[in-house]
Amino acid sequence: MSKSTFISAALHTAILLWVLVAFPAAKIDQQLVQIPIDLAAPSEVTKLKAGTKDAKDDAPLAGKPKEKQPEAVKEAEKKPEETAAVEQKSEPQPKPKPEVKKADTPKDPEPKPEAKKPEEKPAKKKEAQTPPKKPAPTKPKRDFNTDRIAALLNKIPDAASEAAPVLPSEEPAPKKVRGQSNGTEATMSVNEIDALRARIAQCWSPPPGGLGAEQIVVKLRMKLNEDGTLVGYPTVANSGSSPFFQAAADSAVRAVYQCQPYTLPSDKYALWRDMILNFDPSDMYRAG
Amino acid sequence: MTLSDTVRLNPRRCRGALVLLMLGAVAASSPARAVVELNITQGTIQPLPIAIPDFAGDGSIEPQMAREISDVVANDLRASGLFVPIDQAAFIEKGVGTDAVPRFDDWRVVNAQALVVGRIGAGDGKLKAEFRLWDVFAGKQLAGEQFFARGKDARRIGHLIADSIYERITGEKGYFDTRIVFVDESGPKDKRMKRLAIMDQDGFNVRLLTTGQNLVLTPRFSPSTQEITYTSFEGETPKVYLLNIETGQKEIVGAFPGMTFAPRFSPDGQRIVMSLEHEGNSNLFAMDLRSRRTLQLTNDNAIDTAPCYSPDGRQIVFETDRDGSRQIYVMDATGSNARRISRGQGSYSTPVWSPRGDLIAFTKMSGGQFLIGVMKPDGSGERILTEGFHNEGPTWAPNGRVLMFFRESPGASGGPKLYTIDLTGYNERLVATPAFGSDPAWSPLIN
Repeated sequence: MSKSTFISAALHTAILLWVLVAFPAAKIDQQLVQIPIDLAAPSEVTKLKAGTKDAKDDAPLAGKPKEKQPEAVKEAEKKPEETAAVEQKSEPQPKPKPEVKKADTPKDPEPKPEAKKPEEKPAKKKEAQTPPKKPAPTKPKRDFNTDRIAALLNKIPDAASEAAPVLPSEEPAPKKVRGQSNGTEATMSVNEIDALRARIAQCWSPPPGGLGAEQIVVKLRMKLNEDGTLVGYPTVANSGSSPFFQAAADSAVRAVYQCQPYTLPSDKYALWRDMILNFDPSDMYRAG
Repeated sequence: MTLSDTVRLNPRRCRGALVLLMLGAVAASSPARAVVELNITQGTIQPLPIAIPDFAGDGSIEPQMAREISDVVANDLRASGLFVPIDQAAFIEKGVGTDAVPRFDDWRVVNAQALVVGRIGAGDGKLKAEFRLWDVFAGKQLAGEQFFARGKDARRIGHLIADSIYERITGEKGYFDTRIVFVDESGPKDKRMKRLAIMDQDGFNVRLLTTGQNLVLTPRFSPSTQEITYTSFEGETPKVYLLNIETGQKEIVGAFPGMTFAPRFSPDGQRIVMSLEHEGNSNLFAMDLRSRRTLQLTNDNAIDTAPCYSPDGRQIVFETDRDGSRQIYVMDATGSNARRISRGQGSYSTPVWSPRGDLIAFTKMSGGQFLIGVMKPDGSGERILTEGFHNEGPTWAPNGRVLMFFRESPGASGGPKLYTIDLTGYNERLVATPAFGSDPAWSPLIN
């Protein structure tokens, strides 16, 4: 009895094993394709961006781009002045549109006793400066395609040239910052990113929108102090001509202001001291 | 709707991540300061807290009048559902003027996101109003304007300021400086007196336009807002009339043998499209107001009525029972190429094209109820905004974001009242009228 049972058991086990190995293999394979990439994706993204922080500061850029850069900077520097001037002129222009009963509209005095807040100016400069550097603006940014990545990578030299003229006083040269040691361990976890997003989602009330307003994505760059408060004025890094863009950009700035201070892991300050936030309401409108 | 964000990953993103991974090698060898980039795809839609301290008088007018104007602003913004005026008792900085920069910290403390300050004065027999809209968190001015108006237009100044604020904050045109023409209904249900009336969008300044001798129906504004067209049962048969609301001058539109009804202006104000009844059928006609020439648009054995032009004037939406029950059709403005767009259960009537062109509002009868809904001009995307015993006759605010309609209440003492509702189906509000009111029509922005 024991022998035959043993043989039977052995054979059954063998068949079972064979079945296990032979058949479900395909199934498992299919499942494997998606899941690991899925899980890897978010932190991978962050890590990569973090990774570029590696100390090799100007090594590879040294040759070619350096020659190019001065030009770019010059151009960029000129523009802001021009546009700033235009803006100043046009600012009082929010004049009454011709209304029936309105006599001529005397100049809006635009008192502004504090002749422009100091923080406001850099903001404007920056705004004016950004258009040239924005090669691929309002793509439906859910398409995470190569253009976007190219744009993202493009930002690296930009950021370098930008840092000096734009926020000189507030931003000492990127010395050693906490969490900057090497890119491999300094990554923001999915949870940390999620928490930050959820926090901003609470503060962000996008305008109700009109025809086409849901397509508008606002790219906001914000810099944070170590205590989680904003450094200066968050800048809008893209532009749009529709009145919806202005409204959307204001709502994003309000959200970022209102939400501060941000509680983020202080050992990873190097990662979150300078962030770009893309405010994209399209999912919300679709749901509504 | 508070939605916490989640990291949602789709295959496309994964592919993106993969590409990024490959490009990562390149990126890693390049220098310097990287920036973490985050997508914020969820927010919390909530009305904007706005501080509107009483406007100040400059000494030349009663302070009461200045306050009345800021009240108009606050009420308009509140009624839109997109703003919440903050209780003035909470304000820390008192007496903030239009000539000084506010102490933003004080306003942040009371949670104001926007601040409106204004000053009203008088001179040369005119009112002068100025206001500034400040973004409290960013500490910058968003808008600043001056208005001059006749003394009796004080409330209009408030509406104009509210429109400016609404436009600056939402990016969309306002609709507060507008009027409503409607049918004022008074007296017992079996002996109702119906008179044409006009009022401001917020229910103020009601003025009666007809005496009530004759039954009136479906008043509609011309794009110029000086004229309205409506159906009146004067004499034997109902006819379409044209009335100048400034001069009171009145005329019959066209010399048609039968009964004419359901008129509406073309977007350029040059034509009136309406129904003409003949032997139990009614067809649609368009009449050029200058040449008085008429063009027959439909010709069938059915009741075609309630025509309404698309905002570009190229198409007409109307209701017809040519399929047995009342349904909505769209045709070219010449009358050709008619096709049915309503496809749901029940019957549909009173279609109205949105001023921004993207939607058509309608009344739907289904399951013993009268609903107000919207659909796209091709009939897709039908959405019901409100339902109940009897809702009817939607009309669009000029920015295409709010609808007004009337709702009849049942019973002997019941009657119609005017309501507004947001395009999202939220923020339903009763519009105050002196008595019962029906058949509202929203004017374009006055200017």
